[in-house]
Amino acid sequence: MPDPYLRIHNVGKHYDGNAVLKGVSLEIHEGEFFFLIGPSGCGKTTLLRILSGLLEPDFGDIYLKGENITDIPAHKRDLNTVFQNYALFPHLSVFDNIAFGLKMQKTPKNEIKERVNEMLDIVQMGAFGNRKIGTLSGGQKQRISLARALVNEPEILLLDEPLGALDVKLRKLMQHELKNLQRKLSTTFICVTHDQEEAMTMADRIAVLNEGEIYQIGTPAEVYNQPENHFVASFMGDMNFIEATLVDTNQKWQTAELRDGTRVHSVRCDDPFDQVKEVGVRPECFTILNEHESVSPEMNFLTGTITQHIFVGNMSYLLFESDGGLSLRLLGKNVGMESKHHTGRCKVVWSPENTLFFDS
Amino acid sequence: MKRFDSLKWGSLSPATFWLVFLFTVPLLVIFVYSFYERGTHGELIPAFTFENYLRAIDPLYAGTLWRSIRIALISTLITLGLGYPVAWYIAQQSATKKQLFLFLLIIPFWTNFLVRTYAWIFILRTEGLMNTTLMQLGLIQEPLQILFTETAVIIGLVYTYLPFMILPIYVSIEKLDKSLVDAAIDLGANAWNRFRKVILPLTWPGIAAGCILVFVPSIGAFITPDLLGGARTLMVGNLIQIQFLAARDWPFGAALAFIVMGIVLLLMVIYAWINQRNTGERGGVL
Repeated sequence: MPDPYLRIHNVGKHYDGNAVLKGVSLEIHEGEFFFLIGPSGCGKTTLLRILSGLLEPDFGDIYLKGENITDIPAHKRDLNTVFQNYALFPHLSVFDNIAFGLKMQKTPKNEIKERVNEMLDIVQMGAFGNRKIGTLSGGQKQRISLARALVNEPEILLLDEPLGALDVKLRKLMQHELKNLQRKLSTTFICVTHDQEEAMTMADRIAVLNEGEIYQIGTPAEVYNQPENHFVASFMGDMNFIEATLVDTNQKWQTAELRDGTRVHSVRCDDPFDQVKEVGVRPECFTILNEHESVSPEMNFLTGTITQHIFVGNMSYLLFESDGGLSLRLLGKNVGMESKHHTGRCKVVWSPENTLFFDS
Repeated sequence: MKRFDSLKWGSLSPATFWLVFLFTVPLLVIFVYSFYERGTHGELIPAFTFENYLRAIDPLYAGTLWRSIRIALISTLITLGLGYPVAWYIAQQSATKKQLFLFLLIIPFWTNFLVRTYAWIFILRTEGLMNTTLMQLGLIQEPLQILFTETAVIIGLVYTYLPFMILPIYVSIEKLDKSLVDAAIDLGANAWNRFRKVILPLTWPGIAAGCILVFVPSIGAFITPDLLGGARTLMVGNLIQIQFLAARDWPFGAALAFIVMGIVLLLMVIYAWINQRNTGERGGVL
């Protein structure tokens, strides 16, 4: 089997006796747009800095194309970083910022000029070469910092919360630009973020980190639809959790009993659960029916009252209180001026496919 | 006039009074004197002559002026060389250690300047602390004649003004965004290039400020050269002092004072120009 492109093997780091990374292992493929996501303090930025070489791990190894690069100093690594606040040199022009890395490599002058100008065109900043950094807007700085890193043609581009400092509209625009750029250059991108939507939009694969450990690795769809634990389920999107215990397993279903005695089915997976602590359902997975409407037997449902309607533009959150005292948040699309959502007594129905079991 | 204005002017008036009557007016008086003639008994004779300024360029005095510039320049370069690493070191420490080190820098100011300069006489003289130590260690056979030389003056000036170099440089290093150094490393810059291409240009305002803060008082110093330099290492400060107090030639003293001021002013203009050229985002420290 060939060596993986980038292999992170059991990398750990402590700060003042606190374990920030507890032996993380990870493999990243060539040309992949990979995301490290987690709440602040989960160790994602620490891992990125270890990859760039700016930080030394306490233990563990990093292999790039089979070669151990753990002890290669940062300035000799074939990786470049887009820093969180861009870290553009304020005393240099846009052109000289981008040329910095090439100058350090002693690239011939005319080649520098050619490559910097080409890069300026790629990030659509062709006319800005002579500008001072202080005169640029946030989005422009973002592009220049991308260009400054990419012009060196690194094996891997590391991005530390690259869109964090931009406003919402610009962030959406840059998400697409960044994704397109990555596709065009087919350079491996490793990006750190705490924004799950950003990761979902751009990533080929995501690693969810918490408290210095990787909780799950997978494609955005896998991580969203099949979260492996409570943390991933709640961090990547929104989820209703209901305490439950496992009562039955057959060839097709696994069945759990909720706190109020209701039994719900979930599709049996290859590796069925031995025990269940919680049942999880995404807010958008419910259908609302009239109280007395009949429901097919394999569907899960609860009867109760919708107590509140929270309008959020294209969507509405409905707060549901079951007769057994369970609370759920439901998410429904709003179409047109009139809200078609029920209020008052109703039945909420969801399928076993959308019912997730968690044992931790 | 509106009430707000009267309040504004009222609060500014002590400072205005200070600047006008204790600074601007005396300065103008001296400026006018610098064109006067000296009477035979040292009295001031109103005139308009450039004689005093021309006399200052006379080789006899120009030598002193040139020595002052040289001594101030060398002292400034040495304080820069000593001060930059110290400022860098302090800036890398934890918050509590920073405070401690900055406090230690200020401590010498608690002792009278004259006393501290006299202490240097005891250190530098032939039978002084330095020579006896070096001889006992067998490093030298005969005592070094340092006291009453230019070297002694430079040592004294460097000692006195080192904190003025360290503090502004320290401030500019503190202001330096550490992620810029990370970016330079990331882009393949080795330690020397990081310093030369990123740290040095970005701490330049602090360096310039420190150099001015050391050079300006050094060029006008008169106590240090008087005590440590002896009669042969006269600086322009001593010359001015002599003109006003001993020789009773106020017009010539005034002209010398204005020449020194001109040199200083020129430096400030250069500083302002450099700062303006560098203002991408950061201003000067002064």
